[in-house]
Amino acid sequence: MDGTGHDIRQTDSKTQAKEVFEYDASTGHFRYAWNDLLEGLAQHRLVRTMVSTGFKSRYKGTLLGAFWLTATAGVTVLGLGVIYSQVFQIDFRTYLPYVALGMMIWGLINGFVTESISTFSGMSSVFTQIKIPMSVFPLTLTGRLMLTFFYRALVVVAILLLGDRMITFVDIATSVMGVVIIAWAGFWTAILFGILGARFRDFGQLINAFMTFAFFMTPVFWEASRLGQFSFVAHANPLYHFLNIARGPLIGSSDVALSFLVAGAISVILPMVALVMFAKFRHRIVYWC
Amino acid sequence: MAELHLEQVGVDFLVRDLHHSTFVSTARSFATGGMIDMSNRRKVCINALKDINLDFRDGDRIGLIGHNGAGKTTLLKVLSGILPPTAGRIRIQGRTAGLLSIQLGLDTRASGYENIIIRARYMGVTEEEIQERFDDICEFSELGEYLHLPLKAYSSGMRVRLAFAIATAFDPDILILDEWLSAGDATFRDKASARMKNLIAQTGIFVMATHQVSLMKQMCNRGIVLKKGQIVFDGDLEEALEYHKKAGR
Repeated sequence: MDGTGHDIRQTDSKTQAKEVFEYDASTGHFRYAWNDLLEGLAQHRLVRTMVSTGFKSRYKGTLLGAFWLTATAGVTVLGLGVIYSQVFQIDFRTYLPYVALGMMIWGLINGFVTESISTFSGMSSVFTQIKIPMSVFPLTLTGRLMLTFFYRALVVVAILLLGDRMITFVDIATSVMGVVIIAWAGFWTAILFGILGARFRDFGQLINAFMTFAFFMTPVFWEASRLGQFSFVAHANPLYHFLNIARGPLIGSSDVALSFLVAGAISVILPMVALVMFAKFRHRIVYWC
Repeated sequence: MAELHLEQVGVDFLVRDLHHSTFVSTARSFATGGMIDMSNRRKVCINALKDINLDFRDGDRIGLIGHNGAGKTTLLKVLSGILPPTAGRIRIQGRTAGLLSIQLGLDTRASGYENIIIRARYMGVTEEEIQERFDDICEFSELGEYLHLPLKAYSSGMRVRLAFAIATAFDPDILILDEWLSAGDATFRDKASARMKNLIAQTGIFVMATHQVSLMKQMCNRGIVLKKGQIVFDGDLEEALEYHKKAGR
């Protein structure tokens, strides 16, 4: 196990491992970036340690521990459910699962978009002091957000159990697949936005401003069908499709297939863009932070 | 066999005026096709290292000599693999340990035991090695029952002792030090010093930058004098120190 992802070969095993580290400033950046990703995955123990210590130290000594996330999510969702089912004049029992799932999954998407900005810039105290693969940081971010999502999603499980809609195994599997696609796209967003956020200080501000706006423009707590002839506003919004692939299957939306198509296409293009950017600028990040 | 090879290595730091490092300026320089590069006036380029050619082999004990800002720390960071140079090639054979910041990664809310594992994982050592060296680290730190407590209950001296014990537990092929590591009170310091010397004796290549001349004379056999990011002398340590002294006058 060596640090950054430059060429590493192990010729001997165990304690006296002989590693070769090569770096040429003029060529081979794509290979270095690829090796960095492989190295980051190989260091999964470090990633797990970083995720769990961050989590543990935040909730250590509190009454509920990480279940504070569950409690907070529960209160928010119940409040929204009661108020807005009145405002929109919808049946509480159909509206509650809708808004609960919407808020949970939006929280995950929003987390990926807004926290991606500081993927690298927030960790500069680490990689300016120790040799470490850069991909460890987006992996840690993904791990942390997924763990947070897990605790918050417990509320949804309870709500769906109490709800009157029959949920089949296929519905659950489809929804889980949707969450996996969000995590996959989120990891690459963390790399892409992490680089942009490290280079341009305005980028973070821009994204934060945009996401507040996007929350109200995306059908998170209101239904797209209520827009009538303006429903294209929802369908032209890629964030809606990412939301819908995880929520749609559980509430019986009719446009889930379309959303999978859009989100799937983005999940193919995004890694390519991110990988190119990572190859091009990975070695510059340490200079920017 | 440890080997370290640097060829034409250069490091340029580009210091941007933050005020002008925006989308607008980038868009502007893009729009003007780089012909009138307005932002260029706001950029300052620092050649931290220039044309560095080095060959280190087993048995080399290198002391880096130079004034503040001569590029010592930058060179150490390049050697540690932290800073990818902007020019040139590096080839390092062997496990490198850059002990530049030994308290990195310590979590004040986690216990001493947990911190040993956290920090060791940051250093990238294998799980077997952590298992192997675990008891030694506990014993060397002399923290006893304190290891059960979270780090925030430790005095600052105790924290340094733990950090030192972990950082020096895994012997690398190439050891890089920015400053001599030392920890704790007088008796512990002797013990720490002995451990450092033992660690250095076991590594193939040792590189250190310090302003303590007597220490350098004790530990090193080869001196490299850096001046404004360039190597101006490379050879016997005594001669290097002499050269630096003369040049300083």
